[in-house]
Amino acid sequence: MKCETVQAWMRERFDQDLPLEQGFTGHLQECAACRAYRDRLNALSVALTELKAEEPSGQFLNSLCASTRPVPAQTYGPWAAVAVAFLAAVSAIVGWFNPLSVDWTVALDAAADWRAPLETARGLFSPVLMLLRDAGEALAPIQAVAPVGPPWMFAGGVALLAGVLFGFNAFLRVAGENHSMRPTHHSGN
Amino acid sequence: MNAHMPSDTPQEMQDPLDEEWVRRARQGDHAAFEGIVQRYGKAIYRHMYRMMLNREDAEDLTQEAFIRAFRYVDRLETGGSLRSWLYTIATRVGLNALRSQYRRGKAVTSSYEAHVENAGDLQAPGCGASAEHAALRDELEVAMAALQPRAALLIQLHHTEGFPIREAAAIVGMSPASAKVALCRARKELRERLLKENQA
Repeated sequence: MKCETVQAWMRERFDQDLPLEQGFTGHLQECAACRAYRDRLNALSVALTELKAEEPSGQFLNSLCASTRPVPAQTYGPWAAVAVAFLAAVSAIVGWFNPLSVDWTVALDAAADWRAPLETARGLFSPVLMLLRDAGEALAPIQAVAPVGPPWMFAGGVALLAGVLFGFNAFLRVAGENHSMRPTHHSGN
Repeated sequence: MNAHMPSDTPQEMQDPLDEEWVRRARQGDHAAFEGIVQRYGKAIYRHMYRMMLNREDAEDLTQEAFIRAFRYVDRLETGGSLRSWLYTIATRVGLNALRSQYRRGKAVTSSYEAHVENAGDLQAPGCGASAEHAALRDELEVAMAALQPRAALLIQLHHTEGFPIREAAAIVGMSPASAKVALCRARKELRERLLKENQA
């Protein structure tokens, strides 16, 4: 039997990750060259199971634990803060025009002139403005101590301030979360 | 990087300890996260190091992989293998990083050269092996660098990490049949390079 045939068989077996000891045993016992070839292929198979890799630095696992510490669940998203701030700002601006006189007839009649969009918006926001008025009236005692204008302006101002603070708070929390989730570099040994 | 999370879980059965940790991690128990990191952190780092071939990238991407894993721990199927799932996420994070480096034109070969220079200092099982075997392992490191990334990954996952082919294929994102063909080609390429058979 030719050695080339045996070695071609072994090559085929090696490529397919099959054991090399299950054939041509008689030839392999007699042929030193084919035995040496088989041993080289087996050594390569063993080397494939022993690929090297650098070990991480000593503090790596600790810093990994710290960096994967979960952030507490968010109870509301940043868009909620933006929506509140926007609503408060629009309410204050629209409220500048006397909300008590708003009705749909006036709003529609005024649609032809240059104030039409504003009047329409005022009509749409009238329920909100009514709430602001009520809130302003409720705050009248405070206003009496520190007069800051009509009740609806005072209520709108409070809402605007609350929205801004709410939004700023949300921004700080989101920024803090992004910072804590950012991968950090570790010094190598 | 926008590696999507694997929604399916490879076939390996869940280790009972892993199952308990996953259950607690889903409830937000940070001690469970730490247990998972302590158990798999080094293995995932080594896997990442073999992909990236430098310490800094390996550490950063290991961290990123664990953050993603914990963020999406709910997507691990009940009873699915945590180990396979972590390797899947790490592999996708690593492949995305390699793709990004390739797009930026970063010389990956320089990392390989540095890695090969340091190969003698790196740890491998069976450190008492003969000089001939050690030389073969060094040559193997160089030959591995010449393989396609997915083929090299299959070799690492199947031969070095001991994953069955089906699981290694799932981790790399290939069908088992394609993985078998790729693995066969990779072994042939390594054999020809290391036994100098391509010149014969």
